[in-house]
Amino acid sequence: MKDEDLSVFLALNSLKQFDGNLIAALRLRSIAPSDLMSSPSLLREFTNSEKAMERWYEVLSSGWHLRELESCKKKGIKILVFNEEGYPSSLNRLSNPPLLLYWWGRLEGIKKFAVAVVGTRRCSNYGRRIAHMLGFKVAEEGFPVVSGGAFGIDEKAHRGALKAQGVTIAVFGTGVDQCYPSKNLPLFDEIKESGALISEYPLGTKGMPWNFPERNRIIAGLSDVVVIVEAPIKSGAMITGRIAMECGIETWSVPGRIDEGVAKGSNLIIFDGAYPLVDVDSFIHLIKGSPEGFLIGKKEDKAEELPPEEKQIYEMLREKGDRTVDNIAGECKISPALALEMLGKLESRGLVATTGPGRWGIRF
Amino acid sequence: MSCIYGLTLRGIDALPVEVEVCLTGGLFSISIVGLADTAIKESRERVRISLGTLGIKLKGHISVNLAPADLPKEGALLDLPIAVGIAKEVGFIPEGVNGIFMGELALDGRLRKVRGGVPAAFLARQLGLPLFVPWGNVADVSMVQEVEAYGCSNIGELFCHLRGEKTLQKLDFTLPQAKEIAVEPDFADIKGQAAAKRGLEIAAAGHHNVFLVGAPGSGKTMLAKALRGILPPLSDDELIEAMRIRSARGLPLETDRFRPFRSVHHTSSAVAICGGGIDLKPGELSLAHRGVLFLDEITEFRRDVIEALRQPLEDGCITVSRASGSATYPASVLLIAACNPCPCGYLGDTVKECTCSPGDIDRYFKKLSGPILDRIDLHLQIPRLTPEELLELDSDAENSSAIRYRVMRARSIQLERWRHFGIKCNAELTERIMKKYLGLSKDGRAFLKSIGASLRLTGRGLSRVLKVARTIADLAGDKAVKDSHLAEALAYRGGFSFER
Repeated sequence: MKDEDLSVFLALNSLKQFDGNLIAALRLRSIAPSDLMSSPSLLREFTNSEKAMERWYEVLSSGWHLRELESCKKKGIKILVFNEEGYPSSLNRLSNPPLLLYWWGRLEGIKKFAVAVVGTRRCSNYGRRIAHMLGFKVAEEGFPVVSGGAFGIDEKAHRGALKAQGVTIAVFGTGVDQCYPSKNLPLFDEIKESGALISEYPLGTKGMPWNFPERNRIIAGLSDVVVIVEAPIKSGAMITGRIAMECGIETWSVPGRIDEGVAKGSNLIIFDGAYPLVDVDSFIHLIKGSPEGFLIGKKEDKAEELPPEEKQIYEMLREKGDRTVDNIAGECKISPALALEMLGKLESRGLVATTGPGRWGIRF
Repeated sequence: MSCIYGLTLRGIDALPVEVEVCLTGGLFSISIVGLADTAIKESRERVRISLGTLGIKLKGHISVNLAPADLPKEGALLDLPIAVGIAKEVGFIPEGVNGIFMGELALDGRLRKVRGGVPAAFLARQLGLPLFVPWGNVADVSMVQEVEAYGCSNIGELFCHLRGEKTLQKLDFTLPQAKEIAVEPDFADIKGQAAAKRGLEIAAAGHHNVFLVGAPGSGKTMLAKALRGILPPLSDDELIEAMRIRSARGLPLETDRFRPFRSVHHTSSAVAICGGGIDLKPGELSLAHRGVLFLDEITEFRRDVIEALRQPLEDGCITVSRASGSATYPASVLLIAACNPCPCGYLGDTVKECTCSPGDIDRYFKKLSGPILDRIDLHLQIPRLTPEELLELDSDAENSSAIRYRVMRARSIQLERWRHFGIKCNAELTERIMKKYLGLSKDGRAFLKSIGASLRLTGRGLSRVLKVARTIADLAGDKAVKDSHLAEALAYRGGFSFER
């Protein structure tokens, strides 16, 4: 697409009035982008909003769209316009696909079968662990991971994918050049290297609360499978899940404890028809479409090569979850000093870690 | 004119004060000069009346000079030397009498206990003069060897002695003996927390500073207090060092040899902790000398207070400089710092959800600078046990005296090993000594190499692990530091981020 046309679409997108359907409407009346440029008032046919028109004239006269295009080029941010080459066709499933996407990073992974891993920021240790494991295993199989950029589940899913050296895509509710939350900057830099940061908002857009629910439709739309790890009833992840189910995108949810608010929504969506994700390995097998189907697949056993005492503790932690040194020493019938020694050795192998003050659990 | 010695306190030292008395004719009056504070100025009434009880009627103008004239003097402990000086000037006691006197007078002639008994005894030994103290100070004065000291309960008794009518008994050198008294709480009273107990045992054995991180109600304070019961009793020298500071602050003596335990509230100022003020008083750091300084909720302390601890933790002493002079106090303490894992307290908890944002948690730990954390070898995490877990636990925990026995054995091994280097315990090891004489076994060296890369240990972090591993080996009675000791030491490395 020519630069002039691109800048017209950037200007149209900045009005926050139009989605991908505008392209079809323009085509129906055979209006080319350059026509809008030469006679801006043509746009009135597509909107009733006076405000939008005002802004439209303002943008064109101030040359904002040209500067925006210039700074995108400078930063290496690509602009993908609806129905044009590069635009992820999977977004066509949405009733209101974004008019264009700012895409910062690599274009690989757009055409691939992608898995969204979403959930709440305020999640439990369990949620973090599962998100990390899902991100890792999905990416390990070569599927791109899609998520937001928040703390908690989003962050852990990305980290898991990066650990597997896979492709991961973060969809922002701000401009792609904004770092929100700022503490995740190193993570975003890493994502940019192997995957992409994307957004439909102009550069410099700050995080407005209403942007994030809108953003969620992109997460759902980009993915072929959506997994909700942990979400309270009122949360962005639930919006993503609902959109996915409405669009007929395969939706999974990780069952949580029923008396905890943090998993109320993700449990409810199972009741509403999402698949319960009861085993990560079989989930991977299913999305791969491998013949084993819903069987628990083979597991590589890290415990096999460990010395007997370490193996005993590792297997206990794997079976029963997080434990204090008291529990470990008591259940394995060894002294606390020996238990600590074994934990130190397991930690140096990267197999266990502290999950809370004084509690130990296995690492993925 | 007559002249005898009194003393005044400056920090933890007693300084000699010459008390000169001169009687001239005229109407009765007493004037005291020589930078005396109000308590001394008021002593003229106590002196006049208590001398009156012995039938000494004062006439004429009495001038009392306290020398050196430019040294500020304070406290009622100069009552007695002034009274003795006047009695000597009026000829009630013989001309040749000399000595150091300290004590506050009551109106009926009794002598009241004053602070500074131990420093006074040191001064008397240095000057080679007999020391006369109130009966209440006998216990602290008799802790110092080679001092000719006498205790008296009233001024009449003292004067009889000075006139040679009835001799006072010279005080014998006695030190309080170690008693087997149970310290509350005992380790046997604490349910569970095996890892923390083991960590504290190592801390006591190697004199390592400890950091306790745990949710509210997990038992941090109780564990810190229990540490006192497993520390070895004070040796003779240590006892006197500790008592000198206590005595100078007027604190009662501890009759057993348990190490001091000072718990400091987080509203305390830097002066309260390090010492200072016009009269250069020793602070909590020095009061905890040879014992434990417990800073609960360390992240709530003011930043300057925490940073002020850096130098004394390194050197074992603190120099306080003020306009009125400077003083150096011993401050060799075992520091226990405690805090929550996050502002709300429930980070990583199994039951309650943490409500803190990552930014909140960052800010919470910002107060603890690297230099402070580098001086704390053991980082212990205290889990908050759920009710089910508490019920599950067996209650046959070891008691404190059994643990203390092991600690003392490990200490004596260290004392023997590091004798030539002038250090007493593993916590004092320097980088240079460690490199050469730590005694790593072959498998230990191999293990260290393998963890260095995978755990991303920094240089300082590594030396902390090595020190702790040395103590663990000493507790086990092993000459060489093996991989098993190093592995256990890794578990106390700590850090505030949890794998979540």
